[in-house]
Amino acid sequence: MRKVWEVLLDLIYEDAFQFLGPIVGLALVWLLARVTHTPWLGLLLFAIVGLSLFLSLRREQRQG
Amino acid sequence: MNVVVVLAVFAASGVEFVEALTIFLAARSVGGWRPAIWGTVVALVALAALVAAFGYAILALFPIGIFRALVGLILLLFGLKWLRKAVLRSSGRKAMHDEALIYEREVRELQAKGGQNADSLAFATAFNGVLLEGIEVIFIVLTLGANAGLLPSAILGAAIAFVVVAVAGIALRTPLSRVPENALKWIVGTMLSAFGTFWAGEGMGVHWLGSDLSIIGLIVLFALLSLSLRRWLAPRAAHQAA
Repeated sequence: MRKVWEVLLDLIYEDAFQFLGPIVGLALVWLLARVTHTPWLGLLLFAIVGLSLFLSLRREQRQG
Repeated sequence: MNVVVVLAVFAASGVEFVEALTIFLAARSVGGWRPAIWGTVVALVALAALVAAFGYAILALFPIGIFRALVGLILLLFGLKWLRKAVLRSSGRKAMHDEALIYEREVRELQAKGGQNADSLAFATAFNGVLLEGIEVIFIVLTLGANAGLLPSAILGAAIAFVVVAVAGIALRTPLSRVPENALKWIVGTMLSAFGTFWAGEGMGVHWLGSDLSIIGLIVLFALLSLSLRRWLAPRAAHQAA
């Protein structure tokens, strides 16, 4: 059981931005969608996902 | 019939079938045709049983809104993984995927286990390879086809890819190293990320501008984003290599 958790944690740590970014983005969009139906929410979601990808690649680049 | 879904599933499952073919051929080179074919057949039966047991049950259990959001998130994470890999490879930060090299490595590893029975080794290798790659194909077909009316398009895309790879594999009997797998992964990563963002957003209550047409806009945005990231990363990779 411990091994499963270790693998999961490794996975999240390796690609933390890529995994957590979209989840945080979706949670934020879900909250905002309760109060507004502006189509800009879609663009906001794309921007957060794009930022997650950028941060994940920058992390890879810094690690060499 | 949705042509975009057919093309996306064709490219995505084609990549997986090419990888499965490489493992199958490596298994054949060690134990011959018979155990490799049996390993493949048993894996295909296991995959069919998996779909029968879980595929429609999952679709029936969840309300469409929650299911769409969940499917969108999984597709998005899957697409981003492929997109990230494609950007890293094309910018020179990661070695390009090479089926011929993978085939040689697989055969070497299998030959190193020479003490074991060659037949059972070939059977197990073909079974594992086809099962693992097949699960990915099922995952792609079910998630992309999950929305009403798109399942036939997704199944058609996967079926065409299976036939094309199988015919090419039977004709050539070598790993399909000429398939531009890295480019395909880039295209598929872009498409899966776009579909994933659209469905996950819709499940969370986003009202997309232009409705379904915004998927095309998202594909263009993800393509531009990944190309920009590649341009940003390439000189840095060259500088670090020097």
